[in-house]
Amino acid sequence: MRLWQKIFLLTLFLTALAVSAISLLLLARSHRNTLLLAKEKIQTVRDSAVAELGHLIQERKDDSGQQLLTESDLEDLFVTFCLSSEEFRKGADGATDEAGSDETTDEAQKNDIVIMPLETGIFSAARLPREAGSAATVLVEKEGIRRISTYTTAFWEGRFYRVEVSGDVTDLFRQFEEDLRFCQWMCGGVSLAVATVLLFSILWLTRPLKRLEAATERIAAGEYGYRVPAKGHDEIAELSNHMNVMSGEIEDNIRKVEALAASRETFIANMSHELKTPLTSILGFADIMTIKSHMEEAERREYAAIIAAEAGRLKALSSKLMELVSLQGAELVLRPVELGALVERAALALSPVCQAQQCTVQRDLEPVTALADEALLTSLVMNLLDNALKASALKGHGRQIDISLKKEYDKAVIKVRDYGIGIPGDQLEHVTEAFYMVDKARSRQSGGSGIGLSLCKAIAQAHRGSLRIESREGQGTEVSLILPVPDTPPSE
Amino acid sequence: MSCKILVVEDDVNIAKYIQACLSMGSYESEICGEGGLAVERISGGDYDLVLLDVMLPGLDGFQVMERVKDLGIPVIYLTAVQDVASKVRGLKSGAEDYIVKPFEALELLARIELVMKRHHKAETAFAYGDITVDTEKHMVEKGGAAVALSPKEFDVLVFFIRHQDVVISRERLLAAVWDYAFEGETRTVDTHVQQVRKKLALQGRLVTVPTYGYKLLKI
Repeated sequence: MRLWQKIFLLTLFLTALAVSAISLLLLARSHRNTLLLAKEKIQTVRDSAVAELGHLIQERKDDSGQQLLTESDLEDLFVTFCLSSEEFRKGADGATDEAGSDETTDEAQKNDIVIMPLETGIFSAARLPREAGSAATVLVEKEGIRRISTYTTAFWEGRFYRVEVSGDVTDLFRQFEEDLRFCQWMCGGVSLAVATVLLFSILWLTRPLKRLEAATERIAAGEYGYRVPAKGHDEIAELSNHMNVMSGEIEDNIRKVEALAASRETFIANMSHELKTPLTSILGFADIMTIKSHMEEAERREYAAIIAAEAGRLKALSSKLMELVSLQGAELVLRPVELGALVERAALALSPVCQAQQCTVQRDLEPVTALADEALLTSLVMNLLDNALKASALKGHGRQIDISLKKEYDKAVIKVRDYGIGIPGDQLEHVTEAFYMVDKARSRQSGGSGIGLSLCKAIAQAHRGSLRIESREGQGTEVSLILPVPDTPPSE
Repeated sequence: MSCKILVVEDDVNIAKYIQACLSMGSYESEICGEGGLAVERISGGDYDLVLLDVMLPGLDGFQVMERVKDLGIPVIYLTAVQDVASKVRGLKSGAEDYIVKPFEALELLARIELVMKRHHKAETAFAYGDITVDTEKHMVEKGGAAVALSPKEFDVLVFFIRHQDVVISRERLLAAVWDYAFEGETRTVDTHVQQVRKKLALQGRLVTVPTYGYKLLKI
């Protein structure tokens, strides 16, 4: 069942229930009040009838001078009263004591009075009749006619009389039943009207839900860039906004994953190319040495030298690749390392190359201790120095490299500056990509694999540090390695 | 008639290797290490064939191809990029062949020869001592007298004459003469070589290289 159907049915049911309950309650209450009024009225009629009769008896006694009226006198008086009273119109036969007789035909005269002696004996104080002084009002139903019947006892001329007055209230009940029927129709009509209005309101209110549903379907189908149109400030608009945030996140993540896959693909393609290039030379020259029967000594040596050189390149590449791969996702064990000494050692290791190239290395080192993996960081610094040496060698003679180590706030900054060939501005952002070479031919000549700087970047990142490269083509390059330094280096 | 081949390759050692291969097939060759320069040299020179690397500084191989394809000079790609898409792109751009690195010397020569044949640039007449071969007429003469050879024997002879002083393995000969995919027995090769040797009296010149194959000594 759809949500709008549920809301519709539930609301319709509750509305119908509430409307009918309220109207029934009101109706019942008003009916009860009407009955109460009718009852009071009948009682008033009864009491006034009793009083009137007492009055008439006294009058008759005064007129006739009798001390005590006889029973027949009284009966005569009652008949006269019944005939003359506006409230009661009785048959002239005087049968006032015929209990239950109802000869009223006039619609307006519905009240009926029955006066009945309770006992025939002379009054005696010791023998009070059971009913003396009692009064009661009841509702009786007989053959579809409803009456309110009330009685009381009166003491006239030494006798107890039961005076019973009853009134027809059938009309009241008929009216009640009519009202009830009207009420049912009303409830039905109101419910129908409410239902119609409700149906359209619900459909209108749940329209954004349909839009949301359509949007989720589109997003699920892969249209991650789709955004739900969100209007207003209600819950659905909020939900739409949240969904847009969610699909935005999904889109970002998908893009990241795609970019990662693409960069991995490029990496593998480049790696395969870089592996095949030396392999081609190695296999090729080995093949020639196998199949060529006459070969000059010089030729043989040259080929063997090429094979050795290319195999060396392959070895360097594979060890760098291994380092790069092992760095990814590996948690380094960092220990406090004195960076000045580390840089000094790296420079020392490369000093034979520097001497051969007649290159001087200017050092400006402050003592700074940072948390580092010593072997990896040494390899990083050596890579930077090696790059600086190569860049200088390609420029020409009279070279210098500056190395500085400074503590800036909570960072250690190692700068390696050369005055070599520099890097063209448009290629600067690519140099840390694996296998990217500014000048492939020259890189190869100087033994580069295109992987050094990406390795440096990976090492720096593994130390939660970063690498910043500034360069001007033809004027040199400055590479800054920035490492975090703990405030109080933990002692080992 | 010697063919002139331009090798467009930026890796010095691979270029040197290709040159060594080509000299074994007695081709003349020149090396060029940059895309833009290659276009100039192809347009200006009189090359019979271009061996083109794809990953090049300057213009890449495909761009070079784009600029020189109207010249009608056959081009063979020689590259380490071996995905199918690149291969298809290379061949669609009008190249004759697509050779993936690393490759063997004799394979390179065989495929160059195929391309040359297709362009009618291959030599059709060979001589070895008093033996003359005409590949167009399918005729072999020794000392002026015609020698009857079966088609396969003929191919074996031509292959040896084209690759003098090169040690040729049985597998290589199988691949070159029969088919690259032919999974025949190497004994077939032996029978044919013996027949050629006998019919043309090449004892002492077409020699067996123990455990490897055969070699036709240069005169």
